[in-house]
Amino acid sequence: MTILLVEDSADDVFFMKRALKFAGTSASIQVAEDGQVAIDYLSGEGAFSNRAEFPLPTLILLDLRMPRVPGFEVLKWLRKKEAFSCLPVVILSSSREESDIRKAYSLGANSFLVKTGDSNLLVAMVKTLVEYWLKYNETPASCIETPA
Amino acid sequence: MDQRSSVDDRVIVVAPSGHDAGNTAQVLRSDGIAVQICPDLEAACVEARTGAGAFLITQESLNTRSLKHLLILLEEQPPWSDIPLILLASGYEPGAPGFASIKALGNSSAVTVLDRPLRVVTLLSAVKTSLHARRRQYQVRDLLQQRESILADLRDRAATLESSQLELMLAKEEIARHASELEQTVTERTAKLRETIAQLEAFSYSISHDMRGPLRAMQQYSQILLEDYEKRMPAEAADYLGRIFRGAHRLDRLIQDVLTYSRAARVAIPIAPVDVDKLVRDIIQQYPAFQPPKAQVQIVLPLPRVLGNEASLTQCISNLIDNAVKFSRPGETPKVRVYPGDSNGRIQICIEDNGIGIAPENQERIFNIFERVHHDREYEGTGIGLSIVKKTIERMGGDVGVESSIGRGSKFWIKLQCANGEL
Repeated sequence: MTILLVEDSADDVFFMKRALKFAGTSASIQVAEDGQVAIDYLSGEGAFSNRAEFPLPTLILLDLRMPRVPGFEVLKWLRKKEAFSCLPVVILSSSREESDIRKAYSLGANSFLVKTGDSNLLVAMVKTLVEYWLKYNETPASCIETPA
Repeated sequence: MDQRSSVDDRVIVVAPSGHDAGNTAQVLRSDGIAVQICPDLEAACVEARTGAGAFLITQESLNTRSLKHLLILLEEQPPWSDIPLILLASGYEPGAPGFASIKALGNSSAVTVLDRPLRVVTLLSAVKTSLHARRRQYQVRDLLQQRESILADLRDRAATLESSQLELMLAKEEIARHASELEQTVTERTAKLRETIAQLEAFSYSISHDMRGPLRAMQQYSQILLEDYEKRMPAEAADYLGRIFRGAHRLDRLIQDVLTYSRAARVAIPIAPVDVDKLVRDIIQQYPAFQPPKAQVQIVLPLPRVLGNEASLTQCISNLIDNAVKFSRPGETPKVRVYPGDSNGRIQICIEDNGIGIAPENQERIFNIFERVHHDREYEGTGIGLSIVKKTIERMGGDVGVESSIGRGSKFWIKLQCANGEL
């Protein structure tokens, strides 16, 4: 299992990796440092075509404010692509602005989490997150409907 | 009027041959008729212009020249006037001298021909009939004058009305111009205000996204350092790290509170019936700090439903209970009672504590943003919580207030419209 973390802040990447380690997940973490990299990763552009090294994720953790391509654009792109239309996306944002939350859900986000400054709380949050999305939640093997 | 009527009623006697005039005048005067004697018709015509009831003319005074004067006088009469002429003839018959002239006169005016010799009674009767007819003419004249003055008055009024209408029209135009100017000003100001609000929103959006990132980093790195390396560092270093963590944490809370406040001030708050009893129970259940052994928060009487916004009201009541629990005497378990009241048809929700109380001089200013009574080391806080409560409750159409005295606890209340049981 692979988690794709789309996050431009090196600090937040560090905290998230640390929290995931503490949460005790076996999933591997891939990082895309902005929205464009995430789209390249998912499309298998260039080096990302090596799926042994860069496997398609089972869960995307998506930041909103990023240079080049922001989180909402990634979300729009994902939901338009049939192959990724039902890939679980959890938004990780600094903001709890009502407008952001509403927009995220209307664009097809599956969950919205606000980043915390408390490392203990972050660990607890990530533990729950991993448990829910990687252990209990069911997703289709393929989003593409194949004729019976 | 007397003067006028005597002139109007006089008989102008034209008799060139002396005697006749004197006799006639005497006869008329003896019967109370005013008389003016003129030596010839020309003089009589001049006299008549100041007023005359009738002419008494002898045939002898008529000649081509004098007749012309008379005709001009008759011609120039106003429409109401047809001055009676009494002609004393001598042998009035076709062929007699002056007959043609008299006949011509008779065609265009009221001529009575009396043939001499004549009896006094005939003369008087003819003069009186003529004067009577003349008075009728005066009545017509008076009516015409009256009509004229009424018409003039009406014209005056019409003119006044017209000018008032003009003024009214100008005033209306003026008002319309002002209204359109005002509308334009309002439109411009609204656009400016919208722009300002948009900028403010962009500003707070940026704060909530960008400023909190570095703070989170400070908080978490100091926290991680403490967790991972505390045993390997001097106590002093650990203390400094603790201070960095608390400073960052406090600034983050400050930013969050400012954002909440600015949101409370600008974002629309939809109003609907809210079950306050359930809302307060949920709040107590959600926060361990509001539960024993840390505190006793009790709903004393069932709380009614109010008109408000559930999320905003949750924030307000949480803030008030949080304050009630926080401002307790050291070592004493905070006891908070929540109960309803009624205030002029509105619902009052009271949150009463057994804490340290608030001095009267501070009771108003604690609702202002950034106002604090205590040092942070005594009671932690940002000084924004109550201003959020005040702003939010006011935006829900309610009121908030406090009753307190030092050492005897505080009672904060909010007043909102009753939801009339619909939910």
